[in-house]
Amino acid sequence: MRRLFRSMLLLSVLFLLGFWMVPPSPLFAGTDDENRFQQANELAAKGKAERALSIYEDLIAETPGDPDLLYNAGTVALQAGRLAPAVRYLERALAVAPDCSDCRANLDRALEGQKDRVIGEKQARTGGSFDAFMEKMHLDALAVTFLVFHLLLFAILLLRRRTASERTRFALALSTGVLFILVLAFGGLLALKAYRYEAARYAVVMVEELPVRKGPNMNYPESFRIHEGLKVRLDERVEDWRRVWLANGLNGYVPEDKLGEI
Amino acid sequence: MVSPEKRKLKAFRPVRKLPVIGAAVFGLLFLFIGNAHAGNRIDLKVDKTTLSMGDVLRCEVVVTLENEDSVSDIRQPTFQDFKVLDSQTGTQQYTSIVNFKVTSKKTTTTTSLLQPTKLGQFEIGPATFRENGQLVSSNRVSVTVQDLKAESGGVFYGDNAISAPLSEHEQQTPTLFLRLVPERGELFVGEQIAVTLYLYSSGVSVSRWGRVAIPDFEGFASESLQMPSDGDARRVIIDRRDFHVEALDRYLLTARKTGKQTISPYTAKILAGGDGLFGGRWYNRGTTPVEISVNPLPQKGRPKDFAPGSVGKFRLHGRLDRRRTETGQPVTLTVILEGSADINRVLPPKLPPLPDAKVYPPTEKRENFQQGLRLSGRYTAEYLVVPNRSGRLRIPPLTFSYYDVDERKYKTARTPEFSVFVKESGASGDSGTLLSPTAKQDLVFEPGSLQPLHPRAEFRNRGERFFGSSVFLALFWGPLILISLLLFYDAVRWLRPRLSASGKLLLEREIRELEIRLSDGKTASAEAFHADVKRWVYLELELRTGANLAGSTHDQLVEKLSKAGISEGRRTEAVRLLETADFLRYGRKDEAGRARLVADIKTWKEALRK
Repeated sequence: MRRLFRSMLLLSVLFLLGFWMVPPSPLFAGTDDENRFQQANELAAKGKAERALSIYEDLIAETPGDPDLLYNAGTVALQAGRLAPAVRYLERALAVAPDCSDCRANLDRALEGQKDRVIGEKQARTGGSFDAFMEKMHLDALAVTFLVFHLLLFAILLLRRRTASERTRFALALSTGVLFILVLAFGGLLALKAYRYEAARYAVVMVEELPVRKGPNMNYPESFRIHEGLKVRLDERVEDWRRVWLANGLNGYVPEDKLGEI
Repeated sequence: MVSPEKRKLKAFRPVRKLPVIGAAVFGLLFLFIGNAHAGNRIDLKVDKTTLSMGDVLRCEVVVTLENEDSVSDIRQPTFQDFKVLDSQTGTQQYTSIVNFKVTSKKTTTTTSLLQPTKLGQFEIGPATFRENGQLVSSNRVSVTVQDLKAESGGVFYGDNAISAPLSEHEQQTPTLFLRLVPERGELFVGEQIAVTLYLYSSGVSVSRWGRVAIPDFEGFASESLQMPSDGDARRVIIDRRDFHVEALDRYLLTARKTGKQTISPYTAKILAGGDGLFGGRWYNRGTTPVEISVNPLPQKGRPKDFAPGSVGKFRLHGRLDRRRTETGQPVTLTVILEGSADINRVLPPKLPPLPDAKVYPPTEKRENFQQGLRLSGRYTAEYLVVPNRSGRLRIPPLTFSYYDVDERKYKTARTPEFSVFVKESGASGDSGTLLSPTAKQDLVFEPGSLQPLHPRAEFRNRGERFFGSSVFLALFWGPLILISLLLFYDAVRWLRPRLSASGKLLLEREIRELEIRLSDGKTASAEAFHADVKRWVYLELELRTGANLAGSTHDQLVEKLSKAGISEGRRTEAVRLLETADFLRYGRKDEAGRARLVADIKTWKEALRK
């Protein structure tokens, strides 16, 4: 009876885990999407960039993380002479596919038409070797390492429950301690990486010219002006205003609706 | 011949001893640290060293003894030229165990309230005791008793005002009145001064107070100051009357207008005369108007860059983040101005435009904080300076002129001159701006100048992080949930026998209560007697069998008891007892029958338990 109860419990947990772990069913692109994509490509080839862009944007609304859609949208926006959406889509394409050389090449071309030249770019964090290490570490690599230790820890805990030999139990307890420390350390690094180092969000200026003010309303004096297509880092939000930072440390407030988040 | 196991053990022995050796070393270390201080001492403290005739001096003699047996003949100082109004002694004893060593410390504090009897300078102390025959003395304290000093017009200010004689207005309510006391009667424009509202009570207990009207402090900028958390109360004697004086409210005023300024009355309501929580009466009291002279700052020696409001003591610092850069690469100049003034009212220095660099508007921060009775502040500005020419960039010193009220003269604080070595940058050295708007190129592309469109798309979201995905969450939470469930299962397994044991105990307790009630004949009605007897019999059977018998008919009962292994004799007896109970319920009242039934149940119970 007891054994049956245990087996049922284990099975139900495994079932629940399995249910949770199964990724959402992959998005199968219907032929309709493919047709629309091809249609947009044909329109772009005929020079009807605006219409092509509108189709790409519809498709992006459905699949916002597809690098090909983003790349094509950015490229046709560039062909249409629309700098801000071009920079925005190409930056987004690079964010989801950092190895996309076409995206990089066309983004560089787009930035040639950007009016602002930010001089004196510096890294936002120059805190030392730890910062450098954290910047270099890949978030998912940390997550996998953390999970390996995490699962090992629990596997050993389960094993210890089934072990009768005192000597083995002692060895397992020791391993548990070591693994617990590793889990804590990697958990801390993972949290730091996720919530401090990768929390930065960026946006592109969507209007031709945008005054940046010292405070979050029109009464504050203007500090400087930025122009269409410039990439800025987003900071605090005060009502409808957002504080933005340039790569060289210049900062100020702009209305949020004038920005397009990447 | 030594077995391999024993050899292994021998090899481990020094390692096994390591924690013991470590603990011993740490223990010895702590023992030495613990013994590093020991001794008896005597100290003398007073709450002020300058006072007027009306003030009460609080003098404390603190004797700290760690080895009480060696100390004898503790003597308090003789308070010549002072009248002792009150004296109290309190003792505190601390026992601590540090590193297995028991240490005991006894502190005896004798507090004396003293009233000066004449003017002059006096020495109080020393207090003494003898330790193993040697005389140990405390420090001595010099105290000056001076006459009250009235300023122009016979008005008192500052500490003098607290023990000043009662005004005509105050004499109208001499047991309970308010007094607004400015620190001084004269100050410079821009200078800070604290005014405190004191409540005087004599023979009246005060439990609460509330503001009615606060002065508008015309001619001053006012800021409410935080009162000390442990209160600010003292005892003064004015015209032989003993007053308890308590500070209720305090404001910091910064003079804005020159000339005679009058602070209008401060009105408050005071709940007095009760016994603490209840009773008492609200009284309205107001202060008399207070006059303060605000003088203009001297013209002589006034620097050209002096700005009104810069009165107090200031310090100016400058800091450059680096001394070498390239054209187009910014350096950050941080300027910090600190001073004993409301920093929001101070005009800080500004970095002027530089011929060889572009200076961007600074990022500024101002913060004020209370320091005692003064408001101090800090202004921080960060300038981004972008050199546009190679060579040596000179950043001139920033200056800030202020009037030092303590030294009564103008002073100028300055940052050092900074020099930055600028080398030519290959890339963007020609601009000289952090953000250089260039002529916008038209986005016209020749065919083939852009990378071609991608012919196919996967229609798949990429770039999703594993961290935070459902798989990650499942693998993170799954083991935690599994372990929690196993722990819960263990807990249930552990609790179940304990819970059932406690259930048995409850049953037994209820049976005992029923037995006592029925044996004492306390159950009066036939209904209640019947119910009690049936419950007793059923509980006894449930206790023995562990089965739930509630609601069973007699036949079902017999069947269940038979399954539970109760012998036929006991089963039949149980049924007989229940039937007798039924008979007694519907028959006439029969005390003897009831007693017999109770006795039968007891006999049956004993037999059942065997």
